[in-house]
Amino acid sequence: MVKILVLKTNDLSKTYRMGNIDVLALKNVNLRVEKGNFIAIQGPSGSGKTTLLNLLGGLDTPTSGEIWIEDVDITRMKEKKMSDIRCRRIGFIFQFYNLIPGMPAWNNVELPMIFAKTPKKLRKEKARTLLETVGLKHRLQHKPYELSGGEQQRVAIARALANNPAIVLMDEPTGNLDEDNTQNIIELIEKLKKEQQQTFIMVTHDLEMAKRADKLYFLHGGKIANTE
Amino acid sequence: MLNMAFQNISRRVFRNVLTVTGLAIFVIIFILVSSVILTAQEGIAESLSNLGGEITIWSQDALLPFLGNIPENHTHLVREMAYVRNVSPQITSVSRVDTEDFRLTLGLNPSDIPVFYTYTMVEGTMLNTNESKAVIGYLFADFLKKKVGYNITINGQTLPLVGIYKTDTWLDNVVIVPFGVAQEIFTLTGRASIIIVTITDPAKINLVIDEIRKELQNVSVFKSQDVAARLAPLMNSVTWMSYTLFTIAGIACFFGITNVVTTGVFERTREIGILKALGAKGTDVTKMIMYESAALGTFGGFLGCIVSSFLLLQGLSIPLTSTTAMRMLIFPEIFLYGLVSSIAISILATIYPVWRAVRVRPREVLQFG
Repeated sequence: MVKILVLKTNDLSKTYRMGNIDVLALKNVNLRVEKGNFIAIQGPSGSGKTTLLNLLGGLDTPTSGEIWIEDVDITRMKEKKMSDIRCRRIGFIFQFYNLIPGMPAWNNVELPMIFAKTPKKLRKEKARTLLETVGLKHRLQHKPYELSGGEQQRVAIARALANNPAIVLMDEPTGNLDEDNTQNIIELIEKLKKEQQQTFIMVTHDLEMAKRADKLYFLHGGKIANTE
Repeated sequence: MLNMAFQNISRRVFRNVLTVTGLAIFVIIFILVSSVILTAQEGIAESLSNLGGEITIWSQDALLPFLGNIPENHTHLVREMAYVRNVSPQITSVSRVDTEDFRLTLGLNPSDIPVFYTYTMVEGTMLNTNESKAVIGYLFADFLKKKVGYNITINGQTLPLVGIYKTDTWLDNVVIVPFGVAQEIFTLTGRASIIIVTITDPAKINLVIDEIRKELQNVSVFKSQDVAARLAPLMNSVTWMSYTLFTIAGIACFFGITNVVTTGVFERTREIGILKALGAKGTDVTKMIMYESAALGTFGGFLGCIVSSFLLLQGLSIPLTSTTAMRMLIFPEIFLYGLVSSIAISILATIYPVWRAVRVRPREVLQFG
C-alpha cells in the first residue's frame, strides 16, 4: 500500500516574547503523518501542545522551521490563503465543541462548505450524509442546546469532515464527555480512520484514549521526548 | 451568508427590534418633514399663483404678501401709468372670525372681484357695494356652519353674510369684505397689503414694472407669476434647516447602530473566531455583518415607509390656523430617499464593527490545549 504523507514539519520552533524574556515553546519538532494515521500527542501543561496545534492549524506562525500540509507549505502563508487552507485541508474539533449556538446541526456542518463555496444542494446532501455517518440522522434540525455533549461533539466531527480535509486536529475531544460518550467518540474516530482513511491528530490527557492511536508523541519542554 | 445574517438577527430579537424601530422613526420623520416642506412649497406656490393680475406690488421688507403695508394712494399713481388696465388694492390680514383665530380675511373693492378672480356662487350673491357685508368661501362656511343671512364677526365687527362662493383655491377658506370695510376693521386707513395690477399689453409688462419701480418707493414690484419664486429663499432656508436636522438625526442613528453592531461583534468574538478557524475569510465575515445591517436598515426603512404612508393616507394635514389645514401630499421619491437613507446609514455604521470583526484572530479566542 502506498503511503501518502499528509503532514510534515521540519525543525519547527516557536519562541514567544514575554516582556523582555524569550520563552521557547517548541524546539525543532519534526513530525511525519501519513494519510489514515491516528496520532495522539500527550504532555504536561506548558509542554507546547497548544503551540503545536496552533501552528499545525495555521492559527499561528512558527519562528523557524516549516509546515507542509500535503504539497503546500503553509509556514508563512498570508491570512487569506491560510483561510482557504483551513477551510479545505484542515478540520478542527474542540474540547467544548464550539458549535454556532443558533444554528441547527445540519447548518453547523454546512458552514465549512459555505466558505468553500460548495453549491447549496451538494452541501445540504453532504451535511445530511455526514450527520448520518456520525449517527445523528434524527438530529438534523436540532440546535446545539437541544443536543447532549456527546451528540454535540459528533456534530463537531461531522463539521470537521465537511470539506474532506487532509488532517483533523482534535483538542481533548473527549475531555468534556462521560465514559460512554468517550467510548462512542473514539469508536467513531476509528471507524472514520478505517473507512475513510481520515487522518487525525489529537491532543489528550486521557492515556486510555491516547493508547488507541496509531502513534503517540510525548511533548516535554517544547521537544518531542519520545514516541510510542 | 444571508441565512447566517438572518439567523444572527433572530437571535437578538429585542435589540434588533429597537434598532429597526429607531431607523423606522428616523425614516418617518424624514418622510413626514419632507412631505410638509414639499406640500407647503406647492401649497404656497398654488395660493400665490391665485392672487390674480399680472403685476404684484407689496412692501419691500415683507416676507409674505399678508404682511405688506403700503400706501393706498399708490393705486392712483399706478392707475395713471401707460398700459395699465386695472389696479386693485387689497388687504389680506390674519383675523379672528367668529370664534376662530388666525383666519384670513381679504378686503378688496367689490368691482375688482370679477376682474381678478373666477368664482361660482353656492348661495346668495357676491359683494357688489362697499356696504358692510361679507361673503365667505364654501369650505369655511361649512366649517362655521354659516348660511346666507347669518352674521359673521371679524375682529369684533359683525357683518351680515350675503353670499357663499367657490373658487377651488385657497380663497375657499377665507372671508371677503369690501376694501374700505377691511381698512376699518384692521385699522389700516389709507393703507393696503398688496396692489394687484392687470395690463393691456402683456408684451409691455417689464416696461410697466420699471415704471412702477421708478415712481414708488419702498415697494417690491414683480410679475405675479414670479411671486412663488420670491419665496424660494425662505423655503430654501426651511429646507436647508430641515435637512441639517435630518443629517444630525442620521448621524445619531449612525452612532447608535455602530454601538449596537460593535456590541454584537464583541459578544460574538468567539463565534467569529470559530468561523475564521473553519475557513471564513475576512470578506465572509464582512458580508455576514453587512447583510445583517442592511437587513435591519431595510426592515427599518420599509417599516418607516409603511407607517408614513399610513399616516399620510389617513389625511395627515399641516395646520395653517387653529381650524384650517393643508392636506399633506404624497411624494413617492421621498419614500425612496427614506428607504435608501435607512439602508445606507445601517451599512455605513457597520464599517467600524466590521473592521474589528475582521481583525479577530482565531488563535486568541480558540486556545487549544
